[in-house]
Amino acid sequence: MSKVQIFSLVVSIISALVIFQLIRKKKLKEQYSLLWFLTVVVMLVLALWEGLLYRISSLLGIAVPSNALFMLALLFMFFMSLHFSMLVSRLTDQTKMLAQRLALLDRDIRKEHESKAVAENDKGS
Amino acid sequence: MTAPRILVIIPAHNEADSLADVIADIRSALECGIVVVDDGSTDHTARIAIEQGVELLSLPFNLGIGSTMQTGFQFAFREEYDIAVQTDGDGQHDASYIPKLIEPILLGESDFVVGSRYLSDTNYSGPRGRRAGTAMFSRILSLMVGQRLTDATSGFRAANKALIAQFAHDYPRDYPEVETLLVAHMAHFRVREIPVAMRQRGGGRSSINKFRSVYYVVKVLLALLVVASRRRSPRAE
Repeated sequence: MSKVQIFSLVVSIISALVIFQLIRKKKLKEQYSLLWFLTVVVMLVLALWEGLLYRISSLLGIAVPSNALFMLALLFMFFMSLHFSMLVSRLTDQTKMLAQRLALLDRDIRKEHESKAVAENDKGS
Repeated sequence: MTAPRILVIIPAHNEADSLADVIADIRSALECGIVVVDDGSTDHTARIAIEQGVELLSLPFNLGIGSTMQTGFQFAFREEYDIAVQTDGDGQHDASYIPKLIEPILLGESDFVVGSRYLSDTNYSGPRGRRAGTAMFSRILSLMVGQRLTDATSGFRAANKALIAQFAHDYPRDYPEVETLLVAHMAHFRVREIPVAMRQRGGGRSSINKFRSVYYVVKVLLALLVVASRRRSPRAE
């Protein structure tokens, strides 16, 4: 096993442990962790299976295998960011709806208090 | 037939200085419901609204003008108002024009009426960049809807009941003026402009500063493209 393989292996294992720990502490929803676990698995496979990266790069017509790796990693990050943008958009929308609902309910409660106060006053006089 | 119920929506973000005058202005102009939508103000905008005895919807944090207006439309929809008028919290819009603004809706001639600063010899002279932007958007929008529009960015408008329902359900988050006109047109609402005069801004600051104007233009153009790319629904009779 070459130095770089050992290094990749260690990095992959540490990543997997970090993700597992985050799930255990409930800081990461399982739904999202799957994607990250998949990433770690891909890292592991690439680290252990030496020939794979060469094959992929020759398949894509990329001369230097490391460039193929960078490109794939970048693409992956790109789609992850896009995914998170979508999530943020949805959350923003939901937050907005909550705020609007809150404003309407807040007004209703205030009105109720006011009418109660008026009724109390009427009784008193 | 019972008289149509009219709601004036005042979106307000830190408008404590001008809000009381704006409300007094509206009250002297017509008989109507008034709701202040406080967009997460840090001053005492909400207190002034309560003191003035108008309806108050207080957003817990700043949502931007579009979502603030939408909250007002949601209130109008829930309370079954017939017409919703939107005006600014900074006293820029002259409330004495509101009766003229709602007249085409009362007559059933129009569904969405926009007060235009540029339709006649009104002496409004806003900042130059803003004027150029408005002219550009108005021209693009005119081409898209096949009708001459002169003030696409005016926030002084009146919507009928059907449009209130639509806006309560869906309204752009920020810089909504131009986009909503196209949305209304696509949904077969009849849009009309009437000439109004606007005052120079009172208290408060325009939400559009130099750094944001680029975002403004790009966002609106993109929004127009998106709206136009949807198929126009067949007219429901």
